[in-house]
Amino acid sequence: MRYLPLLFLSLLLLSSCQKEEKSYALDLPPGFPEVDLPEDNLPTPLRVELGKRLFFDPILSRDSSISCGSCHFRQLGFADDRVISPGIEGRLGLRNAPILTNLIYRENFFFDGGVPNLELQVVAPVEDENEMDFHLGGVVERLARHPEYAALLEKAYPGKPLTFAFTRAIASYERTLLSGQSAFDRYYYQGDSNALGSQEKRGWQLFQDKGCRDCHSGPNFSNEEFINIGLYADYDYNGDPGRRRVTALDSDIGQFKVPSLRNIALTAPYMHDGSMQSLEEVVDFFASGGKAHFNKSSQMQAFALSAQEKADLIAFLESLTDWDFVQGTD
Amino acid sequence: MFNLLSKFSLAIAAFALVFSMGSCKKDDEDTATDTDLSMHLHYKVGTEDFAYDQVYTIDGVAVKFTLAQFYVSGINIMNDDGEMHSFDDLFLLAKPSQMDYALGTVPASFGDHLHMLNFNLGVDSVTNSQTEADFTSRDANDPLAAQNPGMHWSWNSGYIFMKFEGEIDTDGDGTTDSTAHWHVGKNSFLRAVELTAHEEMNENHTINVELDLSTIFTNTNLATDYQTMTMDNMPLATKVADNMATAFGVE
Repeated sequence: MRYLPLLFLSLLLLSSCQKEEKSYALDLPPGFPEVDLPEDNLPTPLRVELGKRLFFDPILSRDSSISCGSCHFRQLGFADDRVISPGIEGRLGLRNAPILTNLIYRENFFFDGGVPNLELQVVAPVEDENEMDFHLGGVVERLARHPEYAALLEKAYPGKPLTFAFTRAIASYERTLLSGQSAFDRYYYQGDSNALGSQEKRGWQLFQDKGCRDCHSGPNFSNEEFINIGLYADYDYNGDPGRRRVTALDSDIGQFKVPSLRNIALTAPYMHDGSMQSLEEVVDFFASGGKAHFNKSSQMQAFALSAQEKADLIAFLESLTDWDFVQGTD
Repeated sequence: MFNLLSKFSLAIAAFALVFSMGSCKKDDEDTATDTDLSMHLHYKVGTEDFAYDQVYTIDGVAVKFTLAQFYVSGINIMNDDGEMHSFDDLFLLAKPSQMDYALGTVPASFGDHLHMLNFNLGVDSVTNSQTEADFTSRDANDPLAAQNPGMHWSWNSGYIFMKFEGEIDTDGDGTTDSTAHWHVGKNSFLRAVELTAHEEMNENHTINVELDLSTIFTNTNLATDYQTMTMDNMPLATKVADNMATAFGVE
């Protein structure tokens, strides 16, 4: 009997610990490497759910007309099939909407790598005058007035400013967008030798032999580096010099982040500016070796490709579609 | 006997003298006090007081400002002996609407004489990297928190060290007709300001600093080159940053 208070306290502590430690189990695809998560934004069910709700809520745009989900569609691998996604009032920026798949493995963000982490990335489209054209003060004011968001964000991130909480919540949701169940994944990472047909296997071999994998490597099909592929002879044509925009170095003109190829068959149009409409066009471009430019990578070399090989290569790229992911709802 | 008394008296006198000297010194220490130091920042354009939306003529060009803010950090003062007191971790967001800025307490050991005031325009590279604490994680009253108008870049993470916006007369008719902006940031644009003050400080001392915005466009062609977000016009950003470092004086 004298141990009853101690037992009660232990149960209380156990229950509060369990409550604090409740975490969201990230469903990393088989064969994918473990990830480092930011200490101040470990995922919990509440954070992920809140982030998802905010991702699809136009509350973050100045005129409440668009959300993150207005330009990143799950059925398109979280990309957009428009060349440039319109922002508020139909405004157009410079670049094609990137996919948001497997962001957990990315080292920096945007085609020019100007943002060091996913949490800060959330702010850029909110403040971009061609996207949501809002400011953080306005977002905070709205969230504070909202009947649910303020309390839920406080519960998810106790004692933290709303700017901190809403950016972390959206980043938490984005980290759950994991795609690794394509036919190729079943073949390569899960050991199912029948998951790919013979044409796709030939395409996979070509992908390696022709040097595509030199840059599109790893589980995310990107080496996370910046490269000038000779897309243009002059990158000033539309005011987008690539990574030079954030480094001011002429050696970075035309350098863009190597994009992931996850769900690539669904993410047309291609290239940083959405200038190519089909995978055929993209393969032809790389086979041509690209245009001359003083920063063009030496890895960009022309190569011969028969019609059959081209079809094989594209079949391989199509095998990267993760239908469970793009048809999912979480 | 006399000799003994005399020696004893001498010892007493010596003790009293030493004691009295000690007590004088103590009295001196007691009278020295800490100083609460503030900075009064007076925005000017040439000899005129500054006001938003007022049209000034700078280098023969009509200009008006709609925004003029900048970060001040790395603040320290120096006495005549070259001893320095730093106001660590103090960041100020200077703006025309706020003229007075508390710098902190200067310990009595620094002395009364303020020989120099030094500070940086912008923030250090660690703070600017956004890796330890970014602008979204700071409390609203922190100058480094997200501001409105914004003092950070979200597409190229970092603080905007100096942000000036306004309008310029580009056709020479005396009326401003084109929007102008000078947003200067990135680590290499941090600039140091060194001001000689030569002031005696009291318990609550304010150092009066003036900023002459007419000088920040020196060696620029104001009527034709009036927009920079730093990376898109590095030469202009460099000139504005360099000029800002010389635009201050002690009143």
